Amino acid sequence: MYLYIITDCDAAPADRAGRQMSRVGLDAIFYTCSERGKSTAEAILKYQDSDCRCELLDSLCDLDREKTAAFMGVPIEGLVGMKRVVVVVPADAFGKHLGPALMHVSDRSKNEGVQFASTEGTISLFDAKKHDQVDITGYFINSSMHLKVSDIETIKDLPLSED
Amino acid sequence: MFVFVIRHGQSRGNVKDRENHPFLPEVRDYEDKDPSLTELGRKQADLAGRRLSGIDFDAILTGPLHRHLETAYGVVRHQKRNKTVEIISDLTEAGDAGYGGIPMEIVQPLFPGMEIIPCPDPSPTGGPGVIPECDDEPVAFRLRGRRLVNYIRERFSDDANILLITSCTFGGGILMPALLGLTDRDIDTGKFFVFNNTAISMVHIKEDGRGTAAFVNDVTHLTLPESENIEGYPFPYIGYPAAGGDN
Repeated sequence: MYLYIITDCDAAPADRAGRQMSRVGLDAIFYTCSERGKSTAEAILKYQDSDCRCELLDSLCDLDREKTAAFMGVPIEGLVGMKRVVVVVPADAFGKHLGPALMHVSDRSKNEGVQFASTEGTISLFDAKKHDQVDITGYFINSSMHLKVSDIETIKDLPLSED
Repeated sequence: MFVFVIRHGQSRGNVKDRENHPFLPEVRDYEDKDPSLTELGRKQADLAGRRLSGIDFDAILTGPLHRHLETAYGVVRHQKRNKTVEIISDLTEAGDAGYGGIPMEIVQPLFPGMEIIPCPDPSPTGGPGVIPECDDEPVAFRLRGRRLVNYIRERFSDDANILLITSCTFGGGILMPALLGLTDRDIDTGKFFVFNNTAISMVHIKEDGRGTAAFVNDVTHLTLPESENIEGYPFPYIGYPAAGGDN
C-alpha cells in the first residue's frame, strides 16, 4: 500500500497538493479532527474520482507518541485491500511523531531528537509492503515540488521549520 | 550545518541495455566495475547542479566512483566559487569495497575546470583510504556512516553548507540514518530511504548534533512542465519507484 502523508495547510497549497495527487488514483483520504485537516482533505478529494472515500480518522486526532504507537500497531479497519491512501495530519504531528514512527525510528532514537521538519502542505510517500507496516520504505519526505512549480533554482527557499 | 546529500545520475549500471550507452574510451578498462553516467544521467547531474546553484557550498565531498565524479562535475559547473571536490572513500557505494576509483591521471583531465583532491590514505574520516573487504558486512556499513558523520561534524562549522555525493544503498540505507543520529537497531532495518538518481536530501544538523530531515529524495529539478516533458524524465514522479539497480 502506498501511504501518502500530506500535512494540513491553507487553501492555496492544499489545492496544489490536490492537483498533484490527481495523478494518483486514491482509494481513500483520511483526515484528523480539525477544520484545517478536513478542508485540506476536501481540497484533495476535489481532484479524485467519485469512488474515493474521504473520512475522519479518529485514531490520529491529537496525535502524540502513544497514539502513534497505537496507529502503527493496529491495522486500521477498512484499510485492508487499499492500494493508495492519503492521510492528512498536522505538520507538527508528522514531523515529530508519525514520520519517524513510519520509518521505524525507535524510542531511543526519538529521544535523541530524530525527526522530520514540520512543514505545511508537503507530501511524503511511504510504501507499506505489509498491512501491519512492518516493512516500510520512505520514497520521499516533505516533497514540496507542487509548491514550487516553475523555478528549478529555488531549493534554498524550500521551507525548513525548526522545533 | 546544512548537509545536502545527492545520489549520482543514472549510470550505465542502472540500465539494462548498457551497450546502447556509449562511454569515453579513456575509461574503457573500468566500465564493468565503475560504470559511467548515461546521457540522461549527465542531464540529471546538470539539472541538479542548476538546482543547487543558489547554495554556496563550503565543501563538496564525493565518493571515488566515476559516476560520483561525473555528478560532481554537473554541480561544480554551476557553482560560482567552489570548483573543488574532495574524494572521501567512505562515500563509496556498498559493495565497492577495496576499489579506490579510476587513477587520477586518467580521470582528472576528463573534468576541465574541476579540481579533484584524491582521498588521502589513511582517510581523513579515520578509516583506511580504500575500504577493506569487510565493508560488505552491516557492521562495517554502520561504522563507515558514523565515522563519516563524525568527521563532518568535527570539520565544519554550524553554519556551513556541505554537499555529499554518494550512491543509493549507502546513501539511503546508511548515511541518511547516520546523519539523523539513528541507532544501530534502526539502521539494521535495511534500506531506509529511497534515493532516485540525483535526488536531493537535506539534513539540518544543529549545534547539539541532532539532525532534522528537511526533505528527502527531492527530484523537483527532474520534473518539467508537462508541455516540455522529455522521455526518460520521471514526470510525474509521485508513486514511481526508484530507478532500478544500485550502481
